[in-house]
Amino acid sequence: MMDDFRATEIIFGPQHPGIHGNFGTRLELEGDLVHRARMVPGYLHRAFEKLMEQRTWMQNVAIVPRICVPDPDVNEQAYAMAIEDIMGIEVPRRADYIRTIILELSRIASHLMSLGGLGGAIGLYTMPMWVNGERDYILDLMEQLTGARVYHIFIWPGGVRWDIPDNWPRKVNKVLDHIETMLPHYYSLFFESKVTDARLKGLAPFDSRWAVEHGVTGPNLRATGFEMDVRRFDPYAAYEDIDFDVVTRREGDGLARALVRWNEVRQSIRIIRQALEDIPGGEHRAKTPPPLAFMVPPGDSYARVESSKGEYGYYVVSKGGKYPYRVHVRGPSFTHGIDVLEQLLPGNEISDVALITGTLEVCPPDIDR
Amino acid sequence: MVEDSYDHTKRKDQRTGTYKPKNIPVDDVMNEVIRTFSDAERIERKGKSAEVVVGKFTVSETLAIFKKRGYDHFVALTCIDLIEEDQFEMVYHLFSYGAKVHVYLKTRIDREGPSIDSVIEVFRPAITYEREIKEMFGVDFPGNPRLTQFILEDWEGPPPMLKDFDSIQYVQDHFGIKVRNPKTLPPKWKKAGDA
Amino acid sequence: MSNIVKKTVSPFRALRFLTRKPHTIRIPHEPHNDIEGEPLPTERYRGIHINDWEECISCGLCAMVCPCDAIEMVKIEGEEKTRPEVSYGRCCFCGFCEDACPKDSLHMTSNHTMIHVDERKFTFLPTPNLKEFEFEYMIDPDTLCQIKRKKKGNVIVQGEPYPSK
Repeated sequence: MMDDFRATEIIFGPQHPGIHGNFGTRLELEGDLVHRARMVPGYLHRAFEKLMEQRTWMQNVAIVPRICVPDPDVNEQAYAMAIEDIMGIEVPRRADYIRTIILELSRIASHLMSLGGLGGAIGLYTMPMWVNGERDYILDLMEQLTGARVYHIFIWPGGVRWDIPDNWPRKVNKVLDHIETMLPHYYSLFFESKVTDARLKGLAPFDSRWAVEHGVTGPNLRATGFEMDVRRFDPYAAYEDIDFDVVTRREGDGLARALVRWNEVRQSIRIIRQALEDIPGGEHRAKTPPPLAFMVPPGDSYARVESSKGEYGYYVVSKGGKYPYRVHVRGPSFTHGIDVLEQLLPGNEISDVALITGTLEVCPPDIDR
Repeated sequence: MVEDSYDHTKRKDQRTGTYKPKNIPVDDVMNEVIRTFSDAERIERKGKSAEVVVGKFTVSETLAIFKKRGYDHFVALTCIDLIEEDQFEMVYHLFSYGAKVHVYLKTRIDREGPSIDSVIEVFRPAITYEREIKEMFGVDFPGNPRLTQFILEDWEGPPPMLKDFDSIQYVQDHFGIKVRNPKTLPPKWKKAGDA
Repeated sequence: MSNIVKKTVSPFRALRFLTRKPHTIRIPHEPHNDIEGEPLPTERYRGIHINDWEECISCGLCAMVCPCDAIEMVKIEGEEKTRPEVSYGRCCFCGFCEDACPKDSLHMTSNHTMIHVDERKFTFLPTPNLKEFEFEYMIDPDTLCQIKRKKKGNVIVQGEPYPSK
């Protein structure tokens, strides 16, 4: 039997529309079934961890959002939280609320983009076009608040950079209303399609125990029925004051992962509406040393946030002085993209490779950093 | 149309099994670790976190105790180059979904010929973290089958995350680019013996 | 039966989107507006720098705080003090230089249309009279890739370095 086995090795990638970035896969195929998969990361390595040791604490704020392209604000938030924890800075409540709004807007944009990517991977090309239109409204809002469309450089240790402009909350509400009216159209376009049903249902399933053992976090873990969300169990920013549901599905397959993301968009809209309504007055940033004299006392801290892809963490080590001693970035895709994928892909067809990568929402920039 | 709950078993094998997180207070587990291993030392931390320093050879056993007590989310493995003390510090980050406590498990290894036993038998996600540290710091992990080339392709220099690796000098030597002197220069870290 | 009717009719629901305006805009022929029709980018946008030379005390804080090392203090003919010069091949548009400026002289405008063939030579000297500067000619509306010559002072000409240095 073994003599009959002939594997074809192909190199899949490093560019594919299903994922946010360049990322290769070395596949050994048996017919059109994957026999063995080996991930080839490294195309987006920019040595950010080394670079951060050579920049001052505040200069690093400009570097961290570049680690994750579709969802950049979680990096700023986690980096700021770790420093605030070491320094003992109390963040003003207003800043916490502004951070919450920004993070959730970013989550909506990222989830919509990932669903668009899934649509592209199964051949529903209307989906990526439409969701990118909605994402553009969110980028417009970001631009009006933070001054940049993608890399906002807005959340920094001690608060946020600027206060909300006057008519900005009204615009946010308008955009949210628009997205909410469009959501049913997207649902009927994507989830009621027979193609989605055939391609995503039963795709690469795993259960909660397997997920926890392999370090799966975020929407992928919640799709297995395990109600676990950093926003709920370790609340940061203003999440402890806000009422929202942790979305779960119990199936744990590709369709469940897509549906969790889909329903989280609604929850994010709910969170932003509450935050805009309850936002307290006061300062938007705590008193911190000026950027050039920003020193952090010796210590270390791990800060975690819930990104659109899973648990995002920053482990910051300070030995005192103006420069970090070590910054370690724990991206969610570091486990999803290498080990989990290598175990999920064998046995699937080659046409499902991009789709499984898409449903796990692997983001190569945070593997390579 | 997607129903609230659909039959998901029709195409692929569904892995079965349920997961209930254990809620065991971190103090109990810490006491057990300190009782079991004489060289383990607990360090006080504020907030919902705990820190324990163990010897190099008891890391796997300590992690196994934590895993059995519900600290089964392996968050990350960090390597820190403590060049002034001529050591590497390995930090194993664990988290309990039940008790909701973050545990920093730290150990130190020598900087010369660095090696520490792999923990993938206990925590599978460590396989990728160890692979990265092998490449970036040169630490060897006996027992890990996948210590192959990871991110750095065709790399011939020393492990780049070491504190005595001068990245500006490397760029100037290898890529023929004249790097402008940065206005703010980071501190140069040197070994304890070097003046 | 109703299922068949629904399946037959539902594709035609898409027809209503024919009357909607597309998201795509043809810059620079069409303005970029937000959801309420207000023009973008707003004042907060971090784009091309301007520098009020009467206010600037050439302290060099902007150069010190820059994470990309993009700002250099250069000597200019006819000027006593050095002035910050930005290399847009390096700039990451974080705006820390604007925040660090003690005299509030360095600003980032909302204009972001700029282009150069060589990123190493893409240096730019923020001047005081940039408000009179005709930015719209920096990109040719027809080809979208040519840079036309602008008025006096600051010139970014395709393929040529900044002349006054």
